[in-house]
Amino acid sequence: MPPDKNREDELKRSELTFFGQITASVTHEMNNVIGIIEQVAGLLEDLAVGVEYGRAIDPEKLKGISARIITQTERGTDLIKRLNYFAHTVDEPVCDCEMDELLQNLVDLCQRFAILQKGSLEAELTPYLTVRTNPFVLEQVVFIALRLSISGLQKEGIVKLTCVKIDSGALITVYGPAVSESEPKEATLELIKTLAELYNMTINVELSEQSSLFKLSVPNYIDEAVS
Amino acid sequence: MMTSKILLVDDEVEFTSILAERMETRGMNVDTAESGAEAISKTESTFYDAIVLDMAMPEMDGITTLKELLKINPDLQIIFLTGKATLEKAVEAVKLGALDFLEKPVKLDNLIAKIEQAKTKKMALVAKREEEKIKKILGKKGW
Repeated sequence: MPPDKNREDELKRSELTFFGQITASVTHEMNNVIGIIEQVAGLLEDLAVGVEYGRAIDPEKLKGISARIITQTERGTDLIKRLNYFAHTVDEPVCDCEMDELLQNLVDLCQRFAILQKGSLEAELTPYLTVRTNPFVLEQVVFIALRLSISGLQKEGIVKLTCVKIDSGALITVYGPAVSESEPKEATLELIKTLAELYNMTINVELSEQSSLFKLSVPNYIDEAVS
Repeated sequence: MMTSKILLVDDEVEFTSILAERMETRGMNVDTAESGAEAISKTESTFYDAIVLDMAMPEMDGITTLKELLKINPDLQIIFLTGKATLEKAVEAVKLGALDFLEKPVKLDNLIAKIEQAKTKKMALVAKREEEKIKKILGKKGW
């Protein structure tokens, strides 16, 4: 059954929030990359001024600077690729999704959220598993589960995402520490369930004082009328 | 002129490393810290002319670090340097006692100008405290 107007508005807001959180995180990191490259360029300028005053440049120093630039450009390229892949997941409402590629990209995009909590994200994904679904909604549901688990991360803690093949499609699990008290759990769980149901996915949530476990079943066929 | 003693705080280690290198070639004495906790620990044992602080860091963010640093020494001159600059955050930081709020990427000359301003302000504050101390001692002696 299609959601009512209020529900629809809420879902749209949630989509924008999701998109905003991902792009804000990536652009923040991109800004760091640009900041480093700018300082490296400044370092070269400093060396050039030194040469004007008769100081010699050590070729090893130049090689080191070049390596620093390459490291940062690779980091920047990687960030752009991830964001670009993510942006294209809104292209089609329903398509054949390579689960390992889609989920690994999401995990990479979310790694910074875990790092900010001094923890990390790990993924164990069955390769070559394709499921026909709405990639953007799937990412959104998994993202919300990841964010809830990440909220409770302590130093060196891990949130783990797995994806395995099941008869009906794929089973995704997110396992981590107990969700932080500051998270609006009930409203978020309600939202995640609604989102999942829209595309015939089912989600089971087990929250305790020690851990959080989200089991998302993604069918490999979707009723085109729903999409 | 006395060498400026600066602390750069940012979880982007590569960023602080290059910035420190460039500042040192300009005669500054630069320490780096990659977290709020490390910055606090270093500030407890060293008196810095200025602290350049990032906003978004793991565990302890810039605002919390600022509050803790000012508890150690209210005369500390703290300049925020962040990629996550919003007017709201800038106002909050300055209200809490930060000297200024700069956005990344930053031109080194602009940062150094701000550091010089911080140093002047710190020296004025130290001089004021010394004057108050002397007045108090003299007052006790009835002079």
